[in-house]
Amino acid sequence: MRKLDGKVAIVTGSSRGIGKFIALEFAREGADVVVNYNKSEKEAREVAKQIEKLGQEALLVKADISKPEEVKALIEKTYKHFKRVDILVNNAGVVEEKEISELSFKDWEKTLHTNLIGTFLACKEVMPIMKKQKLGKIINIASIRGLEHAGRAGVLDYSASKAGVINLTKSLARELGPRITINSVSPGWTKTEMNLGLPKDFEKEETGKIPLKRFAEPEEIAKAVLFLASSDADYITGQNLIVDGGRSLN
Amino acid sequence: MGKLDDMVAIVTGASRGIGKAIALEFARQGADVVVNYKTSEKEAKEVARQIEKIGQEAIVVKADVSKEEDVKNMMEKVYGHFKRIDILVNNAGIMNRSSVEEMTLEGWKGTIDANLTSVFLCCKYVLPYMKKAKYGRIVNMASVAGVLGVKNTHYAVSKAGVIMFSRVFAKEVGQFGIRVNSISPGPIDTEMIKDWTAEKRKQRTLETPLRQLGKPEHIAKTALFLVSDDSDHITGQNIIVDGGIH
Repeated sequence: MRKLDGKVAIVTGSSRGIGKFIALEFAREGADVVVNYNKSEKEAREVAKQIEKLGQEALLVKADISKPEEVKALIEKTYKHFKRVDILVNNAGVVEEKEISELSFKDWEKTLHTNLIGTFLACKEVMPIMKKQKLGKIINIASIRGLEHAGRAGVLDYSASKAGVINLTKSLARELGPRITINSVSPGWTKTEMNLGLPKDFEKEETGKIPLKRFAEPEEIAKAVLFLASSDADYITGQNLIVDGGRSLN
Repeated sequence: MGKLDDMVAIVTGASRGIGKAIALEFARQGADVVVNYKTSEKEAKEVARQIEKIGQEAIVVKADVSKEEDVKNMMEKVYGHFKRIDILVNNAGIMNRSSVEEMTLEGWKGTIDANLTSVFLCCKYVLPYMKKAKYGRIVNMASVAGVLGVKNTHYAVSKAGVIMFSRVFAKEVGQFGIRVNSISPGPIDTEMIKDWTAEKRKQRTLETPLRQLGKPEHIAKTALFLVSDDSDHITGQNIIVDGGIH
């Protein structure tokens, strides 16, 4: 028996990067997956095709997570189609690589709306369904940038939004019912599209600072999310699982 | 296929409670298990029997893990037998209830030795084998008491020490392919809380967001995650498994 047999999971922002790996990992473990995207339709279709190849159903839903009505529609479409939502992974996120002098209010708003407010909206919309089911797992993708002492110059908006996600997770855990858990996962440096363009010197220097001496594979983030989404983590809620090779221990 | 096929795991204090649940879970996932005990020989042998029933090898090793000679001998014995040690779970520990005012120096030392010095000794003496293999997975059993501290200062301090030991040791040995993490359970329904009244159990259940007391199996599944390949990029972390109560 696989870990997610019979489950229905929504993974926001799953056309690329970590979200894609989470969606595929879930499908391998027996879940049907809602592949959400905003702009990358072609890539999302490809992910859906791979999920179907694994023998699971994939539902493609376009939604901008920063918009309340689109988040609502995403959850409604999922529920209408599958009649349940067992797992929600709030993964969609954006980053502006700018220092404060360059960062406009609009930039700031865009990041906060997608990363933090979008997570809130999706949690809020899915809650009545999970409460009715008396069952649910929510995993929010944060970042080690959201930890105390781990901010980095030039990613102000991103760091603030991810700190918010970690705290939203802890606070909401106290409100949820008996069989609904909510946790966050905070990746450190991961080999995704987001980090492909890092200067080589910088990448080498950063790798040296990681106790395990390498960046994470996106599959490793997906495995941590899978753990929290599975019944193996039934007694874990309100936690932030750091997957960074030990980088933030320094 | 199990998650721990061909692995050899030492679980200290594996005759009862959480340690027993971890030993059995690891065996179900394909590991051969060293069942360490100090006084509960009969129970340890029973755990070994259950492991063999699952189809894995079990060896029972008596050792007081707060004693240097005992730990050294245990590691040598295990390596001599299996020629490898992949996993170490430092689970053995004690809890006595006492205020600082009533705590004797002997009692204080007893708790620190049993809960913290034991972790140091087992890590120290397993390290040469893991370093040589360039592979090792260590999980240390802490407690939410070590994060928040409610009462029983000596116990909280020993467990806070375990969390910090894991964190710093993880940095020291990451370069050798060794990962170190800790687990902090909330109150788990074992002998450790056998003195709770029915009323206290009920109250705690209601206060817990997930509305149940923790079971040894909850901790065992987390330990499994932390020693399996699924957590290959996780080190130096402390995972709280408490149903959200803290």
